[in-house]
Amino acid sequence: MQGRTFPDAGSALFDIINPVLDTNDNIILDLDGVDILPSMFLNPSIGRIIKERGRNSMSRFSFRNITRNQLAGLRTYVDKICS
Amino acid sequence: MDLAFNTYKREDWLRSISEYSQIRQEPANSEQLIFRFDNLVASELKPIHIASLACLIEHFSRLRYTVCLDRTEVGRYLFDSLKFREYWAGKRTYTIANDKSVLNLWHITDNEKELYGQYVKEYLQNHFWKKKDLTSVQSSITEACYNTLDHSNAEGNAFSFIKYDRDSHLLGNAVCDFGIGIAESVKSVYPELSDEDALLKAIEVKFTIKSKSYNSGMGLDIIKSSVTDDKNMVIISNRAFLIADNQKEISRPLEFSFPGTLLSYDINLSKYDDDEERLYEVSLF
Repeated sequence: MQGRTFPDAGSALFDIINPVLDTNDNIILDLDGVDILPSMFLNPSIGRIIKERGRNSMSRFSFRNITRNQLAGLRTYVDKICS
Repeated sequence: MDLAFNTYKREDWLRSISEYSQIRQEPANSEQLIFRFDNLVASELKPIHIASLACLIEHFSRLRYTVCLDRTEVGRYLFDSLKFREYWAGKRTYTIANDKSVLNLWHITDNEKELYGQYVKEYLQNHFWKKKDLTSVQSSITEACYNTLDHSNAEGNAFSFIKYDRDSHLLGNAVCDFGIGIAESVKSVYPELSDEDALLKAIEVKFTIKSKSYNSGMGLDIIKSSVTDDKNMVIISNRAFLIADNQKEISRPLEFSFPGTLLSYDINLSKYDDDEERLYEVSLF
């Protein structure tokens, strides 16, 4: 995702993971080297997945090399976007 | 012509900024404007003063005024320590200040909107908090920059200024633009709202005017969440201001119209945990 703006990186991530959700595979997102997960990245990626496929789709995701801070922020984001 | 600033009080300072921004709109031919700061001292200036002043100078610079600073202590501080001349004469978007506790003005531009938060985080880690996890600081700044660029229509007249107080560990940030203003922006969708109600609407989770396709009304909430667990966040825009803490938001009318938006907040950096090892693999819930 390097070299992209946050919104572009979010859209690119959506394009990668969305077709995988049509299969039986689960998804591991590796956040090694990632500092922040701002809304303009999350909205076109995770947020769009939730809007189109529902909150339960998140059960097929796991996150590798994530900080506790990022995990807390991500959980808050998902809770709020689903509220 | 002289433009005098003689108070630190937030509302009075911003009223002056607002009134001076109205004095003449048509282009001048290098007419001289002298900013005067009699009876003020630089150490009392907060980020809101510097960021709003920068927008006013940018405003006049675009109208082709020649802007001068007086030789008071504040005038010299702006010229010598914060190197104001380099921004307008040298067209710089950032210069390093001669004062380690300020991160100086950052001219918010589309090209550098993602760099600022990262720069601030690294600066603080390099100079003050080597081991702290300051990603929340980076997040709030990045959200604020995007918010300004996405919604303000300020055409580049937008600045941020950050100051760090080593004794209190408070990091103060102000982001100011001379754009349409959040209240007016919300009223483009809800014209019946007052400016006070428009600011409350703007801060609702998932409210967005959808300036960009990736907007979903989470940005201001993320800023608020990351800065208001022990301090307030303030938004001043058009004819209203809003103060938010971790419990509630209150908005009130202003007696003047601010020509854009000013967002300011303090963060106590001592509250953050040290950088820690990343978790190997976890699910979200």
